[in-house]
Amino acid sequence: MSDRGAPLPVTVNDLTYRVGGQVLLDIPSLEISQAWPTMILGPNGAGKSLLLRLLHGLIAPTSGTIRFNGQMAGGAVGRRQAMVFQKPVLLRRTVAANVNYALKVHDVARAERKGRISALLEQGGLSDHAGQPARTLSGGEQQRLAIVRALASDPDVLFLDEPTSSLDPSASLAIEDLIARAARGGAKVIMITHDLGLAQRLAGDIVFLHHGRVCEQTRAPEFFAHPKSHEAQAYLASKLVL
Amino acid sequence: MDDFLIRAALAGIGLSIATGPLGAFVVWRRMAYFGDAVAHAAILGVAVALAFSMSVLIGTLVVALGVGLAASTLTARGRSMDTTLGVLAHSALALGLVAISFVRGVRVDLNGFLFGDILTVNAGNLVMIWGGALVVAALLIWRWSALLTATLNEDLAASAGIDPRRERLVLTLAMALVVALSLKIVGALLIGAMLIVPAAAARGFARTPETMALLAVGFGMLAAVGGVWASALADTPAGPSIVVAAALIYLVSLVAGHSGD
Ligand SMILES: Nc1ncnc2c1ncn2[C@@H]1O[C@H](COP(=O)(O)OP(=O)(O)OP(=O)(O)O)[C@@H](O)[C@H]1O
Ligand SMILES: [Mg+2]
Repeated sequence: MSDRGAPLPVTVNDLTYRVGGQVLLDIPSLEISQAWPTMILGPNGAGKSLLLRLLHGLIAPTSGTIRFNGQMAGGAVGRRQAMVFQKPVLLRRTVAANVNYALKVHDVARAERKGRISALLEQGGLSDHAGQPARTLSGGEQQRLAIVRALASDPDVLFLDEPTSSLDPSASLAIEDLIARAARGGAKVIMITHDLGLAQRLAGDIVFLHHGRVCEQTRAPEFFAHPKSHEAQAYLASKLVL
Repeated sequence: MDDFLIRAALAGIGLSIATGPLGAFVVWRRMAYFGDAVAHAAILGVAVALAFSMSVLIGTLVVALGVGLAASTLTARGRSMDTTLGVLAHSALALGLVAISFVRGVRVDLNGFLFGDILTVNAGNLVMIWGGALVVAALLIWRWSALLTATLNEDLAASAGIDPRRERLVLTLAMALVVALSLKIVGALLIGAMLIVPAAAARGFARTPETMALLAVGFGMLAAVGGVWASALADTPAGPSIVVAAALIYLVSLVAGHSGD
């Protein structure tokens, strides 16, 4: 996976996103490096999902630019990325067919697909479920399938928007393991989560958002030990109390 | 069996090749009302065609496409889908009926356009219907993966490099073509039924999107043959009889099929 050329860093300049006069996101400058998984934290409504969708090119900014190693977000860059949503969206077919379908959308030759499918299912711990209708999987298994399907295109960047928020702790751990392995495999992970334990274990650095602004970007150990901004301090404190 | 009955059945069978897969998308995307809006616009298309002495096929195609595009633009801007489409559907129909009354010199058989006239299908019509239906089916098969992904979740599609707006456009184009083709068979008022009813029946039996589309084709064909046959036997209007046959198949699917999801 080292042969794909550096897709990063991500550089964000003068980014704003407005809807009807309301500024939902305002990020004068932000840089995200290739080196480690990045977690986006912040209270509900901070603009985390918006930022992720902008980075992936699903929506266009009102003003400003987002570049991946110099290239604009979306378009050809977006096609080398994948996104996993909070609720897994699966096709009404078998588990294996869902993965096959993702490979097909990314123009993987038919002859190659079979091997890739079993490797991917193995990776997601879903080999025993290959022939099962995807929508009969448990919530955790469905999310694992959604992640494996996202990995099918061998993405440069894997975006995840609260992938564990509706799962029990043990299912979350399986997801966490899958994400960690994808990161070790060379994909840049950019993820939103409200699970601080998970963030602590996986993150290299934290981008903390509040009211549409980046309050701080800090290496993970430091962030959890000594958050710089008052907003992050308050967020962490409230999480600890809960 | 009489020639005209055979031609009628063949016309219905041909049309089903297009309405089956397209109807599946109409059901999945809950765009039943969208289909109605485009279909009702066909009457306005007839008036335009008569006024400018163009072929009715071209006139309905152009107007159906225009209304389809208008509807998808308006609803994409976040206006209430139900209301917008309701306004569009009924005003297009009413405007069409008013406009036709202005076209001088031609005594128009409105019933034929509203309820279809499948028993008058000639060999030329048949070629057109089969040709058009095959074009629509080919279009849908070509875009199948992209259409399916965009239908499932627009974000997921965009993430995979598929432009959901373009896929919506493909469906609008297919819808306009189907409406133009089926005007003569089931008429403007019942086109929507031909799209939805067989696909809804198929949903009760299908386990994958592909089998649902194929079953919808099969049910459409069955309804066409059954409807034409029944109309010959009982001397009932053919277009509505086809829809009644499809509705019976739907009833059977409610009893015999699984509950779906
Ligand atoms: N299309 C839109 N129109 C108006 N407001 C919007 C739109 N999209 C998002 N917002 C608003 O922008 C803010 C940020 O939304 P976003 O979904 O990014 O929050 P979030 O940080 O992901 O929150 P959560 O943790 O609850 O998922 C919210 O207040 C939301 O209501
Ligand atoms: Mg969110």
